[in-house]
Amino acid sequence: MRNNGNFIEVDFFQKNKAGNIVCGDCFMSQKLKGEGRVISVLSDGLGSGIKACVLSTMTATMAMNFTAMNESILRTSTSIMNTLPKDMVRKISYSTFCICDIDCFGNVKVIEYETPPYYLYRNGRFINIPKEKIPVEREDLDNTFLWISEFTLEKEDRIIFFSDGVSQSGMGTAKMPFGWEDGAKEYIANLVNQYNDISAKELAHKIVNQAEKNDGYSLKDDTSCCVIYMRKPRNLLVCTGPPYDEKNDKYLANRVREFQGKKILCGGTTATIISRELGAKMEVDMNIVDKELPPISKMEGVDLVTEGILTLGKVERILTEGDIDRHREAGPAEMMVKMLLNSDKITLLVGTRINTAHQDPNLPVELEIRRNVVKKIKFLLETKYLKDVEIMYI
Amino acid sequence: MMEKINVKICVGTMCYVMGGAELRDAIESLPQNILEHLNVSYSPCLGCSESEQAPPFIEVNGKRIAGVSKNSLIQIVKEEVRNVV
Repeated sequence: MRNNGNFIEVDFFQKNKAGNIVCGDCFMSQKLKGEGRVISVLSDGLGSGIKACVLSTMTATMAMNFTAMNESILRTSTSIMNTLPKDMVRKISYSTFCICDIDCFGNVKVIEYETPPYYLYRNGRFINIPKEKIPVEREDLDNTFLWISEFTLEKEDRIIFFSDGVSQSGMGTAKMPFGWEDGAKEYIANLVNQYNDISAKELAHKIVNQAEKNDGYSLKDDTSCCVIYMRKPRNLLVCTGPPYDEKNDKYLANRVREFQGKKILCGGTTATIISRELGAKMEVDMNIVDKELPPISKMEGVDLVTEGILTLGKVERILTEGDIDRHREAGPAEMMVKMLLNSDKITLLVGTRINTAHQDPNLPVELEIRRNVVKKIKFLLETKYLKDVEIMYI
Repeated sequence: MMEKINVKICVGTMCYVMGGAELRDAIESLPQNILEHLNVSYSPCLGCSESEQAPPFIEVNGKRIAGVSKNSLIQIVKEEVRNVV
């Protein structure tokens, strides 16, 4: 989502309590395109395992939907608490939540219930935002409060919130008997000072991994961290398919040359056109191998040149599976996925000339129609990865 | 020094799917005394998809050959090398 030309990157990372196969924390984020809002919710269910997972998923889903409908926070929290099933042992229904609602002007409203306080990192230091304290009336628990804070997001701001798995990591050890609370601030400040443009994704990964390290590589609680980062968008151009009219070859080549940001060419014919029009030499690189896909090529001024439809098909598969870390081998599709996920604003420039050779019914079914695959990729990038994607046909 | 034979293999989508993927293995399986006469390169697309002939395509010294298989590639290359030596 963009605010005054800025982009809001939202990403999160979590690891399960050691030995658990599901996470008792739940994170959700949604982009309301029409309103220009970004809502992110993190919830930590009581306990761990499946029970906690159910509690936190219910809480996060309800918090997300009520917030999107502009429901009052008291009604939201009451509804959540009345809905959650009661714990058999402790006789309470309980899960924490943190809702972060950012509107199209960058106004942020954070609502916290029993979570570790969020951090706002701005210009090299942590800012304390005054919070309004609202008591929550419930029968089973005393002294619980909602904390509401509002502020306006500025460029290069980072909002960091996490479950207590992060803040209480290392608790009881000689180095940090009371957990990681102040250490975490110092750790984040050091990281951001060292790498000014560290992405939300990377920062969230690093914080969770450090928490795991604090716990001696055996997490004592489910650990999640969400980072929201407002910054200048990282642009990416993906150019695939030759233009319908050959007269537009030059126009396409100029678009590629003049684009400010990273560039991917996807398709042998497309790459040949660009290479011819720009007079840029192209060479196939046989060092990067994926048994399923034709190799990539190198061209000056372009970050990645791949084969077309087969590679796009695999990119779509990886994005659907969503388990990017599992694809460790660096084949052409993985390289493209990495570039897509490390960008904010993605322009897909799609040539519409139909490759008649691909329409032979004897060919493998993987040879889908380019436009369909590109549309699927756009949908995935927008809904699942919260990217700003635009398709242009040429 | 004798001139080398330029062999260019297309790795475009169609050629790759229709058997071009195996051509690299075929070339690399050739004995050293043949390989030393070859200058093997690859192309993202030789621009033959509109042609009537069947993929995969290769170019040997600039001459385009269609419908190449593993075996026919080895034959073609051996032939060329014999002509030169």
